[in-house]
Amino acid sequence: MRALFYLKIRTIINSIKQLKEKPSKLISALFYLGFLTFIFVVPSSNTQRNPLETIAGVEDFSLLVFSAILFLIMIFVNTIAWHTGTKRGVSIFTFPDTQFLFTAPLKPATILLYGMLSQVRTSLISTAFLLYQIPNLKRLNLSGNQIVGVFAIWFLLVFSNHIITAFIYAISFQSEKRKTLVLSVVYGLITLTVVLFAFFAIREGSFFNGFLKFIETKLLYLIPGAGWAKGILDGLLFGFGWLNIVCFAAFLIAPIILLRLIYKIDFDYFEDALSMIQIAPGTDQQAEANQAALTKYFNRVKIRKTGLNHGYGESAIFYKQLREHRRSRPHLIGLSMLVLLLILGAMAVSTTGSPTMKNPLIFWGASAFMLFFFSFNSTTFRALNEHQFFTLPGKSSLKIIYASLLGILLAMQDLVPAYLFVIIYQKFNLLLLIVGLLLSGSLFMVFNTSQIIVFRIFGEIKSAFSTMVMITLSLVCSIPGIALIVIGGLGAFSNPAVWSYLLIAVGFMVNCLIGLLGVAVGKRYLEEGPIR
Amino acid sequence: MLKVNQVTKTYGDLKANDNVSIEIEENSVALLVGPNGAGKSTLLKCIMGLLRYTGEIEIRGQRNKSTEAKRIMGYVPEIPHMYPLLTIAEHLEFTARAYKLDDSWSEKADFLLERFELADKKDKLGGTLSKGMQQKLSICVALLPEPDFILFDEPLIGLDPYAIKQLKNIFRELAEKGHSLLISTHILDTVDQLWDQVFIMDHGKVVANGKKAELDQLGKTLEDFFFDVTDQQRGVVLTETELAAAANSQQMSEPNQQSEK
Repeated sequence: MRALFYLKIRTIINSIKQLKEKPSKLISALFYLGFLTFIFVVPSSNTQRNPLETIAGVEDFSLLVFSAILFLIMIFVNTIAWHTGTKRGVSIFTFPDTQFLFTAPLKPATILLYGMLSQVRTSLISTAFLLYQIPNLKRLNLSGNQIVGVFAIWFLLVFSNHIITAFIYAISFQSEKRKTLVLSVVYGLITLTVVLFAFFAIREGSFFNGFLKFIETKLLYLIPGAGWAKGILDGLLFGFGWLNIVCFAAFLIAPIILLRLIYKIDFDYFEDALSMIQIAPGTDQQAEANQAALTKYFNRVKIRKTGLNHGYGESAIFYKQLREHRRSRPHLIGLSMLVLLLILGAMAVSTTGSPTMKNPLIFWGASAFMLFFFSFNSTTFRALNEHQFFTLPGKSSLKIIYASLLGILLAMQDLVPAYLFVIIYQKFNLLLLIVGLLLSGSLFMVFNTSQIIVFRIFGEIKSAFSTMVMITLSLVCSIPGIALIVIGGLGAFSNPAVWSYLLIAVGFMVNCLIGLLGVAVGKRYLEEGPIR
Repeated sequence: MLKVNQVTKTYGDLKANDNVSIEIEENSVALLVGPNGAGKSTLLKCIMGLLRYTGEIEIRGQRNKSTEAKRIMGYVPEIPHMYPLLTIAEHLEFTARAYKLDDSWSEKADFLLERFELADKKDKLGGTLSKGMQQKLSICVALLPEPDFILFDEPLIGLDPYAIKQLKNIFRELAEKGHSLLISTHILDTVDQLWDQVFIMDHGKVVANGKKAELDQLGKTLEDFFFDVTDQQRGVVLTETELAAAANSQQMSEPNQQSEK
């Protein structure tokens, strides 16, 4: 264990030393810290605390909604962890780990424990993202302790999910029956949650009232992980009862028990870790076998010839990406499209009749928030990792534009069903579909720019630090455009005037200009060559 | 030292190792040779406990995946991967800690770094090393704990001529000191005349094995033995006369080619 401790400490020290040697990284660190300070200090002095909202006779409505949203996110995250555990075990190691740790006389369980503890970093990243919600949490009248509590719950949930994944894998990797059992439990819990919601909606005779009863019910506390987290969250928000304390105890003790069990099982995970990070197969025969399997997989759905032969010069990048995309996602409907439709649809349905929610800006804001997460899968980011991107003849600026295009188009495509549903259900003007898509596309250009900038500084967006800088930069870069759009939008819907529409247009233009800045930065990066 | 008993490793339908059984004696240098894709690297990974397989592998009577077995094993992988944020010296210190070596490890480390011309680069980070330097460091790391049994997977790939010479000397020194080595390679003169046993792999199977003493008695070189076996595997059956004629014609063509140059 001392050796592993040494490894971790030296890595941290050397990464700090790197900051000193590379000014751009140091500036990024200062920028990040400065922004965090701004988030902590400025809103606390400026934010005007509103009295808690009472809607439809329900006190603490905002807190209930907050609890419900967080619960839904947590159950989603939990489900993914359970599901992943039935597919693969350990994706937390690197290639050097397989050479240095797996061959050393260290117990496999100790190595696994080290890998798990390394995941504190991942948990911290996602918690760091929540830090930006501090002003909103303060608007909900949450005290400092409550806010810290919310962060602690989130951090523990993300961290314990790694343990759950490894545990499920450890008990099920050699048994199809156990895998089926685990999956049955996962889907059973989701089905029960949906049934419970439907039950309340039918009993109350109203979707909205059913939703309120659903988020208040203590039965949700029975769901392992997300349910227990909700129990603690409710305790923090509305006061602790004995049930909340039980949830708190279960939430803390269960991961420790699972870790202990994993340690005892001492399961064989080296191959999984190796195969997950090993891109090139070991032998030609393996390569052939893998290729045959891939061809079989891709041939399930016929791909239309939209590929390389349509692209010449720089545009070949776009068509290459398009073909790759069609191979990996042969159907038009994808997970991101469904998630957007589900969340925006649920928002539209559950807020029917609420005058405060009858505002397209709220739905656009929610989609912009989700768009941010989908931008992590951007095509530009992938292109920057490819050497051929640098060696391909052509204008650098055009290469960047063509590499970015597909990501932006796909984001807009994913938004179409969700926007259409909201517009039809809430009876908004159909023209808003085009406006919403254009504004979202421009916002995606901003995210694209921040990715290019961070990639140019770090040469990757994998490490915890570069990811945090990227998140912060995305937020900062999107502020001017979003602010203008929101101000303009509020004006347009309360008291329509030319200036409000102009502000929205200016917001769009600002986003586009930031997008062009990304092209300029990317151009320099391409001309200078990769830094790694 | 090593007993591999009926090891089979499959990737989907493909048998990368098909019922492989080999045995390596104490204090011997064994070669694992074969064409690309024969399953040599897979077998080495199985022996190191990095892959799941069916069958049994024991190192000095210990299960290969046990901590005790790993303590006496060293491994130089085909493709080295270093921690990008650890220096060369820190990689060695980490190894010393992981193997719980006594205080004399730093002298050994300095000696190894000197031999592989890494002494003046020991503060360089892993992420900044060239492939050749990574390979050198990988060898240093494997040799530092002085394991009794060392597996080398294509160890000469990426090394400069000086490092190749050093490594060949190291093979000789390790053999003289009584360490056991298993060297997977397709460069047949990797260890010159140092080897004791050879296993030839093709299509996931050990298709032949032999001892140097036996081949010496037959007057055959390792190269003769290898091509005899692999040609048979490919259906090319040459008589001894044909082999001699082929060898003669090759010898005859070499001076001509040189004179043309």
